[in-house]
Amino acid sequence: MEGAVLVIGAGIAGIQTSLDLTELGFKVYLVEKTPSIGGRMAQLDKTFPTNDCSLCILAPKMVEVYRNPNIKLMTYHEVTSISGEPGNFDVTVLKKPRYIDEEKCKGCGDCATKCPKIQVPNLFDMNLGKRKSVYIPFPQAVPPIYLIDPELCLKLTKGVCGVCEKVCEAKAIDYEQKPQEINIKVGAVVVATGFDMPAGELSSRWGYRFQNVVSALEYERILCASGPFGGHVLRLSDEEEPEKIAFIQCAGSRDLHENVPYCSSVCCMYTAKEAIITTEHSENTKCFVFRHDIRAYGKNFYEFTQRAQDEYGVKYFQTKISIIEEDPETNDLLIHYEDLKTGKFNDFRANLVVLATPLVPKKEIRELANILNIELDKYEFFKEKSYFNKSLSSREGIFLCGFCQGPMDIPETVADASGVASQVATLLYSAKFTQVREKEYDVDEKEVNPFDEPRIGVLICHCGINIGKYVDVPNVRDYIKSLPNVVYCEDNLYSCSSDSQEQIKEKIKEHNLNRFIVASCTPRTHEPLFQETCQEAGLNKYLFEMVNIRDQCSWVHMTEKEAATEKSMDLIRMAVSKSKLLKPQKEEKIEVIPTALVIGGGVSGMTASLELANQRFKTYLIEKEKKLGGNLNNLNILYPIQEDASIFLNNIIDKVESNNNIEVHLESTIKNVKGYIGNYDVSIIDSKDKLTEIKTGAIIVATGGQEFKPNGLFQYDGKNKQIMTQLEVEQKLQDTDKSWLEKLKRVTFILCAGARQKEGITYCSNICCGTSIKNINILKELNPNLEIVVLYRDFQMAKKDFEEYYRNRRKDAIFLRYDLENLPKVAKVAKSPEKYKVEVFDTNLQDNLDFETDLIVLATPMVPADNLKDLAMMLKVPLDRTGFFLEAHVKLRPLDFATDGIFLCGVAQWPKNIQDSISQASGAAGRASRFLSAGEITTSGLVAEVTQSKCIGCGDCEEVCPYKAIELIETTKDFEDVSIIVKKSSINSALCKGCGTCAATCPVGAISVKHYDFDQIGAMIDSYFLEKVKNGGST
Amino acid sequence: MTESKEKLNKNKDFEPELLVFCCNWCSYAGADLAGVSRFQYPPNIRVIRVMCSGRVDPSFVLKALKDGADGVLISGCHIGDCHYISGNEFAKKRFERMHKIIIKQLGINEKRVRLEWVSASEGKRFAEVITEFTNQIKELGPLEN
Amino acid sequence: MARYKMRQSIKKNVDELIAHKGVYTTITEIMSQPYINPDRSLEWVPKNIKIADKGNVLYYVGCIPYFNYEFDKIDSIALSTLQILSKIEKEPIVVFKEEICCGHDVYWGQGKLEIFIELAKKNIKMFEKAGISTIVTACAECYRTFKVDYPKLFEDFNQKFEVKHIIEYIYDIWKEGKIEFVGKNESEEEISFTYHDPCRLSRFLSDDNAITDNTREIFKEFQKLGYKFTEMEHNKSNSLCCGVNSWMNCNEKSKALRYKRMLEAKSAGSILLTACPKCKIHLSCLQDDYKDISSIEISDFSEFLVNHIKVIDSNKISEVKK
Repeated sequence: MEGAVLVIGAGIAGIQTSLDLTELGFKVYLVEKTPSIGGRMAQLDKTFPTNDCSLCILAPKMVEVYRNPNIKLMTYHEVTSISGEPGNFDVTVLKKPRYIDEEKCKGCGDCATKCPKIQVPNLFDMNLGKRKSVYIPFPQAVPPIYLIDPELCLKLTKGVCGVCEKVCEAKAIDYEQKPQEINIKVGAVVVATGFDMPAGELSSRWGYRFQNVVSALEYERILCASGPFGGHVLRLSDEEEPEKIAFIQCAGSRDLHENVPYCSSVCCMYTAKEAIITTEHSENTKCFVFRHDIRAYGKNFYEFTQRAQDEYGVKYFQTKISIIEEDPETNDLLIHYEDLKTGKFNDFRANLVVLATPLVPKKEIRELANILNIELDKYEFFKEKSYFNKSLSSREGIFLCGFCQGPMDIPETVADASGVASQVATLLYSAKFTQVREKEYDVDEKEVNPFDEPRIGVLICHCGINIGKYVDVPNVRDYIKSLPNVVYCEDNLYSCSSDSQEQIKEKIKEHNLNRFIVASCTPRTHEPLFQETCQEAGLNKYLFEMVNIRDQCSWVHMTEKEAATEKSMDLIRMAVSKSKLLKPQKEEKIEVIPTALVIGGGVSGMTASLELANQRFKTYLIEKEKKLGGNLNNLNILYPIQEDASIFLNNIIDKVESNNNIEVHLESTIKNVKGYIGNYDVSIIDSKDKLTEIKTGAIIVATGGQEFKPNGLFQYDGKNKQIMTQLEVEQKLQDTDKSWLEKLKRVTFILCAGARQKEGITYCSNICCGTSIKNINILKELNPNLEIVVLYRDFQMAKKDFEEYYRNRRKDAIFLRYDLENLPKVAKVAKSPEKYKVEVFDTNLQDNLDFETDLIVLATPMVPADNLKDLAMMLKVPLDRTGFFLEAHVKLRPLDFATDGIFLCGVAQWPKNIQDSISQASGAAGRASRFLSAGEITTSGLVAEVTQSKCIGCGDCEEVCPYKAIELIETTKDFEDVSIIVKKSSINSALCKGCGTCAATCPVGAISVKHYDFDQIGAMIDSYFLEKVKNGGST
Repeated sequence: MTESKEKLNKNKDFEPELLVFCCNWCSYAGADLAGVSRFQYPPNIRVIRVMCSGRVDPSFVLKALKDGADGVLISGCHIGDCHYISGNEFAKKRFERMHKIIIKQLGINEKRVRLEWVSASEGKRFAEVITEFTNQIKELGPLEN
Repeated sequence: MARYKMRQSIKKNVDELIAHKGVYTTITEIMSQPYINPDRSLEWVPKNIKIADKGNVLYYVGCIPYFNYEFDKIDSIALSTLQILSKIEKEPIVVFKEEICCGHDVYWGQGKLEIFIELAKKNIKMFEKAGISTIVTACAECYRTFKVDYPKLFEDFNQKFEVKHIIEYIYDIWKEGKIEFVGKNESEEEISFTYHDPCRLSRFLSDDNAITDNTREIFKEFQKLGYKFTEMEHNKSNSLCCGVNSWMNCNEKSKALRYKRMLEAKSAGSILLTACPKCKIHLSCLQDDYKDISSIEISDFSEFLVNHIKVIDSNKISEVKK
């Protein structure tokens, strides 16, 4: 069995799976068709609902992939064939020629600067920007390696030019490169190829052919500060700022004519986001959204679309678009539409139109499906093996991840990616850690004491001509050489090249250096490389310091050589001053107890437990009720697969109960939690007050949720047999006696009962619409003569198969749309037998309707489980405003808490359906098992530390620490005639992330952050201002 | 020459010495992007990289002013974008307090000490902020005036 | 200097011992620069009190406005002192917007004599320019600095300026018969209070300074108003320390000392008075940590006195002044 995994596609899905897989003990071959990893997410300006800068949160992960020794990054490669079986696949990958030697290219960009061939549309900027024929897709591309476009390069097409070869100091240009086949062996394959957004294929009525009609992804590039217009909102025809922008939602999605029958699921949200950002960018621009249903599928998403309207003045119209035409004189657009609120046909003039075009499977998906021999579904996404496990393809050993399987947003994708990693780990369990390598150093680390005389080595890089041309490097070198404690200082062409690494190692030994500095490019990408080199030479990597004289001197002061030179001298001198105070740091290893605790025995908790147990980790599953299953016990049929819930439930309960690695504790709750990641002591208590002590390395919170009981709303009181909630109806449908149904003539469903309100429960609970459609269908099948009326606001059916499920069942009922301003009214019309009347203003018909009904079913939202506050306190994890648990980062860490070692999944995080709960549960298990698999955690050397003698125990640090890494420890101390309780702060280095907020908060300077200490930064400040270059150099 | 004219001339040739603290994840990355994109800005700043704007201790700022800095800029992730969840919010609170109670009361023009948010994709903005800050301090003249 | 040397001998880096990460001492160093003209907030000055930038009597506020950076409720010392002075003096009291530090902490805590001298020079220039003859302060450290240390450097300082702590000021005026103490304790029972002598107002003054005894004489007078003064076990020049001065770092030893002091105070009375802002800060700070001493009301001398002073005949006073 191979301990390696092939991941195809390096967008956020592929990146996350790869990172998780390496932590689970697998080598990863990450194959990406394009020249850079990052995928669609790298193209986005910001991400909803937090409006995080997309690249800010993605770039660190991209760099992590690049630097990970266990990920073999294969960009500009394609998979051409695969054979074998799970555990042992043989894969052939085609390496496409970049015409640039990856080993030699330093990413300096001299070639592109000098390349004469320009005016080629840049694909990364959705063809809005320009690039040259030798290029890098975008500035932050990973790997930072250039490539030549063979169709445009004059040398490759006509045999002339060759300028790039002449200017490349690294001699990396290779016009002779040929495609190359590479064979690899892997145990499993993960497909994560993402989606396309081809606006050009839409029918002509959307007007995409007009200059000022752009797709949402194109608009994303327009908004982006690093996009073609530098973040200025301009339209294409005249590069003027538009006054009115129309955003058209469902421009092709949910549309049988456009061949996209499903809902793309993310457009409502990104449209709201783009409108908000536009409003923030330019005051003069007004945004108008032409919407159909609002389908904000995710945590607090619905409120985001409300904020766009309430806080940013974005105007929403509920419409159907007829056609979009251009006014040829002004290049404005005329949108002909039907206003669904008034039923009238109107025209709207906009200066720019942004189309929320459908997100569709990649064009090449069929080809790849053939190569991999896996099936596609009817929408041409990869087909999942089972509704309950969307990560499995039709072929065993090949997994699906992210949008290539169906529409999902980034957090779902990330959760999915972690879930896939977990399932791969289960499959390849016995090959874990067989092919990964941990860096081992054969040279012993030399001892460096704080009082040893600093012996500093400095290497200054020319970066080809990138630094050398704009900074007088020899002069800088001579100046730095003259500084006290600098024992060695030289300059070279490329400090990052492999021969330079050898040079650094030699010099460290030759001069017995105990500090090393490289002045070149950015530490964000290159520091780990030099640190590793230092460590290889026996110099603790924390004794290395890096200075960025390229991005901060040569490239930004290209016309001021003297000033750039002086600045370089200053910056290096500052680093020299700091480096004298650097101390070697140890990375500690903390042992992890290889067991897990799962709180909550619903479908999420059970799935997570099974995943962990199948990876051979002992798992404790705690359930407060007498029976496993949670909410699933109350359901009767699962949609959209129409399978009996009890079959699924009994099956999974059997699996849990028969698994030797799972210990189930029913009727039990958590009493007390102590410890930290890897080492928790948890007491649980059962209904007979019996205490059990458990030692565990990780905790998963899967506490689920419950249906909201809308007492007082629409005459509901919990007893009335004529007014029930959905769950109550479902329970009633489980009775064998269904004669009550035959007596009913008309049933009325009221959706959003108590949800999406202005106050109270403001959120959309995401699942009630689907459940209603399911129940309507069941009722109708049991009693075909039944008349069903549905009062709804928007239909939330944002999953792959849901739109069709909904479309097929629309005929089962009469659908009346109401809005928040005119809530339906329920009134009693007869006492006995009890009878009720419903009054509603139907916005579709623009009319008041009232009718009698025999049964009212209220679709109420999911709310968090009871008593979560105590649990949250014990675990030291936060709840959000709505009472659900708050994850570490809504976009990229949906299953983690900020506190390492504790994870969450299922409805505990947010209301979700069974498929998403299962996917998240696998993900949470995957996240947790990373630590359990490794068996130990290595702490970073860059953590905060308390000087005990200085600490006054005020607790300010504890309050500000976002990771709950700080604790106050009380001891009683005797002083001559008094004894007092003394509090001292203590930082757990396993939890500390080294941000240093505690240090800046500490009133007495008792906390130091290693490597960014007060003295070290103070030395840099003093060095800059007090030891300024005094005609030391060229100045 | 009158005194004010003298001062004016002095300011014209005046090259301020400015210190900039950048958080590693957003603003330092923004500065890198300015570099990669070759956005030019005045060479008067020296950047000190810290992990988070929340690490920037008011005492760093005061030390710089004591040592003779003409201006100090702290730059972090936009609110909500902090790599460390909320470090920048603490930076903001602390900064506002320092501004009002210490910098202003010392009679130091508040414009000399500034807090900005620059994201990793705002290379252009980084260059603009630095240009604008440098020009502003040039206008104010040296702190030792 | 001796202390400084001592500290230097213990630890190489003397700045290590400076609390609050040197924020306050750095502020002081910045203020010593000739080009720094502070623009201090006068928000704490009530609207009905007129202050001046020239005149005879200066209220030297000290660093209280900067302490607001970390400590609340310190303003009221300044407010009370100014209220007392304005009640008594006919001319508006001088309060400098550009007031700088007296230099106490850089001198005592860090031994930075050059900076101390720069500050002294700057201060004297400011006093002279404003025509000050009397300097009143409510800060024990400022008082000792002006009273004892400045004259060592500038021999004529004492001839030029009369330096008074607010206690001394009130005592003198009271003895001149210009004020009386009023305002009976409203509760039926007698309220007992005690007084913590700041080091700079006791053992750090010359032996002929009568301020400790004068303070007691004032307190004795309060018996009539239903306030009973009780001494703590350690008092006057034998008083226990609040644990920290000059922004030196506090630690558990100084906390223990302070705790002991608070226990003494607790057994002596329900109100603890002191006459140094830092003593107040440090003693109050400890109350957050230990519940058993949190009931003691800690007040500055001025804060306590402000509601108990009545001017007897303002005409007479102004005549005397002339």
